[in-house]
Formats: sequence, structure tokens, C-alpha cells
Amino acid sequence: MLTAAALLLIKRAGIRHKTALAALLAAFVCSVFICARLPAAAAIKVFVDYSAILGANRLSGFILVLINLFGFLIALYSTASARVKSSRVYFSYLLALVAFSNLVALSADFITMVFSWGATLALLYALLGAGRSAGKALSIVGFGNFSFLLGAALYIYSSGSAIMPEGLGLALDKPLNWASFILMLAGAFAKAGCMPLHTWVPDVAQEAPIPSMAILPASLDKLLGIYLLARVCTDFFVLNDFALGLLLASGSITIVVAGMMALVQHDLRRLLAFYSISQAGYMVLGFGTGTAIGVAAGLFHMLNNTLYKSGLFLSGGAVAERKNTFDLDKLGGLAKFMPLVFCCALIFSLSISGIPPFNGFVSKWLLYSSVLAGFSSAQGLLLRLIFIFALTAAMFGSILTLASFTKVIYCVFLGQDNSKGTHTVEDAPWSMKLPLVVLSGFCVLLGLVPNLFLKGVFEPWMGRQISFITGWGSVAALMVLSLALFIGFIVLRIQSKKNLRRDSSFMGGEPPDYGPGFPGTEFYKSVEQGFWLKKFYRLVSFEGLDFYNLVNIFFKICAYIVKGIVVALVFPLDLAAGALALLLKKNVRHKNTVSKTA
Amino acid sequence: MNPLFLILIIPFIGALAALVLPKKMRPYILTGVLALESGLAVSLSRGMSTGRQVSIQMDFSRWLDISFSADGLSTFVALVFSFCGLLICLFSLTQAQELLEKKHFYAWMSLFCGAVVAALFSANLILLFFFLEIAALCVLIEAGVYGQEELKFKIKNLFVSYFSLILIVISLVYIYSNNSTLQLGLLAARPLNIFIAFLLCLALLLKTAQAAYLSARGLAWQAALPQAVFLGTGVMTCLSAYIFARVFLMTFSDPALFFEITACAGVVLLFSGAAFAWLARDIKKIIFFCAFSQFGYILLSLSSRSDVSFRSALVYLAAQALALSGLFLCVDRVIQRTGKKNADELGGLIKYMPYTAAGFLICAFSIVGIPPFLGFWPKLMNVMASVQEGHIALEAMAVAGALFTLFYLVRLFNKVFLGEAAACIWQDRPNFADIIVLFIAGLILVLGLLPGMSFGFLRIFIKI
Repeated sequence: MLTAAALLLIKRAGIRHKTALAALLAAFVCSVFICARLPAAAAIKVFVDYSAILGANRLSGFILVLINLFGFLIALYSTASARVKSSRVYFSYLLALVAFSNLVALSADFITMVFSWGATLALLYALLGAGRSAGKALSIVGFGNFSFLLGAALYIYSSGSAIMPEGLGLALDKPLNWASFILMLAGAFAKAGCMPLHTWVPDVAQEAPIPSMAILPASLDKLLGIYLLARVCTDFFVLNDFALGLLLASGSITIVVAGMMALVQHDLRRLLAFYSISQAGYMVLGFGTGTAIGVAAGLFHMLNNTLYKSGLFLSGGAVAERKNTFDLDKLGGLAKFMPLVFCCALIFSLSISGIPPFNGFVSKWLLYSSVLAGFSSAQGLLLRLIFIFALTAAMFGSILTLASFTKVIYCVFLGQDNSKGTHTVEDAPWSMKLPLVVLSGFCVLLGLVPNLFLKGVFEPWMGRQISFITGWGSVAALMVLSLALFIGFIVLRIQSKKNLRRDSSFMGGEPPDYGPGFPGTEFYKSVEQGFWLKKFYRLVSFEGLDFYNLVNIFFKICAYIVKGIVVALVFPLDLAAGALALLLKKNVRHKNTVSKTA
Repeated sequence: MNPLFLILIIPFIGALAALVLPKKMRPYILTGVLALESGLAVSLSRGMSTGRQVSIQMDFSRWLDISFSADGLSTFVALVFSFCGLLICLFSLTQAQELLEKKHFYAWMSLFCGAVVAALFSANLILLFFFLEIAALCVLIEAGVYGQEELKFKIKNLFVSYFSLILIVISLVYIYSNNSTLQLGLLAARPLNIFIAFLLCLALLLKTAQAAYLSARGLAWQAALPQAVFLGTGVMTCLSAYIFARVFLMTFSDPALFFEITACAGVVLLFSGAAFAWLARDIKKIIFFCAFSQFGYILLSLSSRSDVSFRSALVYLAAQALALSGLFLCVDRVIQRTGKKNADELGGLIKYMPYTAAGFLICAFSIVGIPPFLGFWPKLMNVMASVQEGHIALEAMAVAGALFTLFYLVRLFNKVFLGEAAACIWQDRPNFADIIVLFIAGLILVLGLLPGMSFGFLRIFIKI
């Protein structure tokens, strides 16, 4: 915070960048020290009624290290970004954001948590450029903040203490506890960008500078949102079947709908933003299983997603820095000019798609295992059906991800350069490539040695053993695969009965001599034009269903109702005043006439 | 000399001076009056936290004794009011030329300040409501009710004005007949008939609503925006909140039902103000309705009756006064620079007025209650205190009201400062007016980051 304030006084950009990097590096080192000396606790008297209680356990210590690591990497990357370079306040905002995020992770009482949680909102708005879409983000995340505030107040009322519990949370047996749970969930969902509070993410992606996008919706906000979700699901409340079903259903819908939306995007930032939403669905799904392995999977996926999603945003930014566009139709053939960026982007794409041996595979595998484990222990039929739906959605989501990133890699790095003008592109600078290399290195490392974190962080925090092999029996596997094949076959039959879309031919990998190569953005046009899918896309894109617009309409209706009531209340006064005014005017006119006659 | 006497007399001398002295000196008179008031309020505050009181008493008859008393609460509100008023007057010094054309403007404003201060320090109910009436009268005159307005508008305002006056007179007669005194000190802890309490409360609400309504019309105030509007709207809401606290919380022992109903009334006001702000297009009106809406929040806090919520209401009062001053100044800058006040006709001003935009945003965030700005802490304390007392539904409504405020203020910011530039104006350069706006914004940020400082400041006045 002190450095953030001091940076405002430094005029020279170079010194500003170096100071910010040094401060973030120091913060990272401090966070590692805190993590090494766990558990830690401290109380700071803020004012008479309230002392901020800070503390770190395994989970928050881990989150703390991640916040500072990502803060440092993104600051390093930002020093090469032309848009950021010119901004005098960017690094101050970034440092303040890291400071408040650290406070979120270190909060051991609800008041400090609510304060620091809310403080990141103003910085989110500032870092996103305070544009119109940032206003939308502010409104939706603001809704989440107020929900969290009210939820925390209800929790304190119910539990009788403002100190955040570590385990032994409240049971969801009273309406008040339910209200608190739902409100806190809304806070976490809005921050993490889960459905239905996700609509700000794709919109801001198109306007915000890439470093901001990489740190906010992709990494820090996701980290904080999922951290809160983890605390809500594991520490604050003991979830029952209904709550689990709710989480599973919302996670599954988020995965599929966001994945389907991403598939047909032409703008790289929007596509990545939709995957940022979709991946949050996986994490919610993990918590919704109600199993230890599910929670570990959700958190591990959070870590992995933060790594590869930040990497993907930064790769996109490195490309855009050179090509000045994010339009997939205008990009192509960059692999030979930016080989390292291409390799890193490929690693990130394979990771997000859940391909071994990268980290995404491990967390997705854990998630599938946790869904199956949850299914085996579920009691009610409805909950079992939801588990089956969740597993299908999670797997289908992975297919969608692979399909989308095949398109992305093809459009950006392979194929032909579709832009006008010069076809020679300068490689990204090292300050941009270094964060990509570090992040991709982590993707590989965590894919090869996942136990480094699973055993080192999650097991001590949860106090339970996490096993990779769960009740994944051959019969269950056979049934699931058979079901998937059967559904695929039915879809194929339905599709083949309809007229297939026909396009002019293309030569894979080779530039045809009659025109440009087959555009990558056309890969899934059939999906977009399918009869039911067309309706689905129209429905999902319908602005009336956007949470932001819904709230706006709600407030508008409220405003008209209130105005109507007030006007009705004032009407007698209006009427009386009008009548008296008329009477007085008549009287004056009569007097005038009499005097004129006289 | 007794500082209480000075603080009471200076605005009235200022009003006379504004009538007599040359035109060009008038703006400095009001600024000087408010500067002196701030200084005297600080000097009065010594030892207030230990319960020290400063009094002046002149007995005329059994029912009318001219007595004034300064305690922690009244000194705190006086300091907040005079400090914010001073900031606004300093801001307006750069553009006082238009105001000079308005005859008697500064005299009325000084008289208004005198009436407010006298009401704050009144130790007698009749004096309290007498000076409230004087302050309201100044608002009516400045809003043109006695000027060139249409007849129906005048009659309507006079109806409201006299109706509230009748309510006050009935209540005071009842209180005197039952207690044989109107001295606040002697009335302490005595029961008050719930019906009379409602009549008084209604009269207060009508006075505040009328001030906000007149400000929203703003016909006569187009030129005299910052001082008159802030003093008319912001100060009237502050004064009403003070009178509510003084009469119903610190003097009479009212039944719990009364506070339940006033808490509901607070939520209704919060939503009504927000609803009208949502529908308004005039940027001035939006801020007026916002001020009115925030009064509902203070009423809700005060109705909780716990120590925490009382303290939170006081800090909220100060936070809201600062933030509203900032917003009024920003809106004034926009109107001065573009000549437009319809939000639909504005846009893209962030490019030309970055300091104003930043100031506006910080003040708006504080009003909404977003951390780390000052407005967050009292809102948080109020939510926590109200929920602890079981007012969950009301607090949920209040939080929804805060969200409502966030939505319309963000929409206003988007319309005025973002998008395509609708008005062609020159590039902004930081001037004295900007420094005032940025000072307010900085104060809101620093006090929000260091809440111990703002609550420590409150401790000077009130025993915590």
C-alpha cells in the first residue's frame, strides 16, 4: 500500500516499474515466509469497537503466495505493454489490488474480510479502465459485495461471533442460515464469474487492457471468489443434499453454457473470457460433490486455471501487442514469428483442455473421480441424477474446450496470416515471454508432480488423505462411455438427416492457390446453425436475460411504482392547491373587471 | 467571550454585513462566517467527550427562556456543517460573479447558517423549532416561493409549510401542557405520547422533503448552485437528523413501536429518494434525491437506538456531508463547463475533466458504501448493529437501497463522463475548484483507510 502511494509521486516510468516490481517481489518473499511459518495469527486494533484479526492457515497461506506470485508476474509482463507503460496510475492500482487481496487471504474475521473484499471492487473498476463495461462489472460485483456483507451480518447473528470458523460451520437447518449461505454464495459467484452473475466478464474482456484482464477475471478475482466459495462450503457451513445439488447444477450449467458460447466467438478476448467462466463451473462442481477429493479438486483446478488462464490471456496480449487485434479472423501464421509464445500457448491450451501430462488433466481427473465418489455416496434419486448430469457436463465441457482451443491455435498461430499489410512480425520481448515460460513451466510441473501441492497443501489443511484412485470401477466407466457413445450416435443420426452445410474446399495446412485458407472461425459454424442450437444461442445471447439488465429493469419498475405511490399521495394536495389557485385567479379577474367597469 | 455566544451571533452579523458591504466582498463574508464557525466549533469541542456543556441562558417568562447549550452532538454536527459549507464556499469563490447579481443572496445564506447553528445549540424545544422554521423560510425564499413562481406552486409550498408548522405548534402545546416546560434538559427521560411523537416526526420529514423538493426544482437556484443547494438540501437533512436524535433519542423516552415505524419510514425514504433519482434526468436533481435518500439511511440507523448504530449514524452524517459536498461541486463543475444539466445530453467528459470525474467517482463510492472509502464503515456498522437487533428484513431492504444507489450513480457517471463527448469544451486544467474536489475525495479515502482516525475524531465529541 505504501509503495502504491509512493508510486504516484514518481514521475519517471522506468523507476516506477522497477519500484513496483521490487515491492511485489518483496511481498512474494514475505508471503512465502508466512506460508512457511503457519499457522500465524495477529490482531490489530482498528478502532474502538473493532480489532482486525488476521491469520493464515494452509489454505489462506497458499492463496497468499499465489496472489503475490501472480501480482509479480503480471507486473513483469506489464512493463512491456505499451498501453500500461503510458499510464501513471496502473502500478499503483495493481499494488493496491495485491495489498487488499492479501488482506482478503489473511482475514480471520468477517469484518476485515468484508472490507478488503469490497476494496478490491473499486480497484477492479479502476484497473478495467472505468469504461461502460467496467460499470457493468462494478454493478454486478457490487451486488455480490453487498450480498456478502448481508450474508456475513446474518452469519454473525446466527453464530454469535465475527471470527471466521475453521471447520464446524453452521448447519443449513434454519431459513436464516440458508439466507446467509445463498448471500455468501452470490458474493463468491459474482467475483468468480459463475452463472448467472457472469455477464460482466466477456464484456470487460473486450475493453480492458490485457494485463488487467489477466490479473482480474482470470487470476485474482477467480482466486478470491473460489477461496470464498471454499471457505463457505467447507468452513462456514455444513452442506446438505439440497445445497450440494444446487452447487452441482449451477456448476454444470456454467460449464456447458459458457463452453458453448466460447465455441462460436470470433474475438480472442471474449473466447478466453467465456472459458474463464466455464472453468469456474468446474470448481463449483468440485465443491458441490461434498467430498474431500472434490474440494481438493476444486481448489487444485482453481490453481491450475489461474496458471493457464493467465498464461492464455498474456499470450493473447503478446500477440495483440504485435498485431494490434484480437480478431481471430485477422490473425494467423504467427508460430514461426513467435515460437516461444506459440509453445507456451500450446501448453496452456492442452492444459485447459485436460490433456495429459499437463496440470489441467490432473485436476479434471480428480473432479471426475469426485463426482463419481459423490454419486456413490448420494442418497436421493434426484441428487444421483444431478451427479450424472454433472459428470456428463464436465466431460462435455472438456470436449468443448479442446474444440475451442484447436480453433484458437489454428487461427492465431497456424494457417495463414489474414491481416493486411506486412507479414513479418517481431517476436515478443523477454519481459513478456518470461511470465509465459514460468506459467507454462508450472503447468507442466503440476501435471507431472501433482502431489507437490495435493499432499503439501490440501491434505494438511483438510486433515484428510486425497487419493487419485477412487471408486472408478470398470462397470461404471463402461456405462458412462457407452452412454456417451450412444448419445453421440443419436446426435449424428439426427444431424445426418438434415441438410449438411457445404463450404468451398480447403487444403489442410497448405495455402490453396485460389484464395485464403479455410478460416478457423468457421470450424463450428454448423454448431451455430443447428436448429436447436440456433435457438439456444439466441436465448443465451438475449440481453433481457443478462443479470445486469434484469436488475436494471427491476429497479426501473420499482422506481415507477414508488413514483406512482408518491404522486397518488400528493394528489389531494395538488388538487387543493390547484383549486385555490383557480379561485384566487378568478377573484383577481373579477376584481379587475369590476374596477374596469367602474 | 463565550465561544457559544460568538458562534451564534457571527452569522447574523454576517447577514447584516452582506446587506451593507460592497458587492464584491459578499462571497468572502459567507466564507469568513463559515470559517469562523468551524474554528469556534473546534474550540467548543474541548472536553465534550467527558460530558462538558457550554450554556447561555436568558429567562424571559415561564415558557420562554432563551437558552442555548452546546454538547458533543450539537458541536459535532455544527463542525461538520460549517466545515463542509466552508469547502463549498471556497470552491464557489472562483465563480462568484454570477451570484453577485443575485440581490440579498449572501444575506439569506448567512441568515440560514445562523438559523441552523442556533437550532443546533437550542436548549429549548420552542427555540429549536423556531430556528428550524427560519432555516426553512430561507430555503423557501431562496427557491423563489415568494418570487416569480407560478401560483399553484406557491400555494402548494405554503400548504406544506403551514401544515408542518401547525403540527409543530400542536405538539409543543401538548408537551408544554403535560410537562410545564419546554426545556430539553428538564424533559429528559419523560414519556412522550406516541401520537405527538409522530406529529413531530411528520413535521420534520415534511420540512426535509420540502427542502429537497424545492432544491430539485431548482428554478431560482440555477446560478447559485453550490452554496444554496448544499445548504438547502444537505444541511436541512443533517439538521432534521440532528433534531430527530436530540428530541426522540436523547430527550424523551419514546415507545419502541415509534422507532419500529420510523425505521420503516427510513427505508421508505431511502427507496423513494433512490426511485426519484433513478427516474430523473437532470444531474442536479439526481444528487438532490440522493441526499434525500441518504437521510432515510440515517433515520434507519438512529431508529436502531443502539450505541453502535448511533455512532454509525453520526459518522455516516459526516461521511455523507463530505461526499454530498463533493458530488454537488462536481455536478456544478459539469454544469458550469458545459451549460447542460440533462444527463442524456452529456457524455465523454472524463477526457476533459479527469479530476472532476475522479472526485465524482470517489464521492459516489463513499455514498454507496464501497470500501475503502469513508462511507463504508458507518454502513457496515449499521448493518451489523441492525441485524444483531433482529431488524433483518429492514436491513436487507437498506442494503438493496444501497445497491439501487450504486446502480443509478454508476449510470449517471457513465452518462456524464463516459462515451462520446456530447459537449465541446476545452481541456481541463487543475484549478482551485479542482483542488477542493480532490481534497474532499482525498479526505474520504484517507478516513476510509484509517477508520480509527474518523472514530477517534468522533471520540472528541462523544464518550465512546
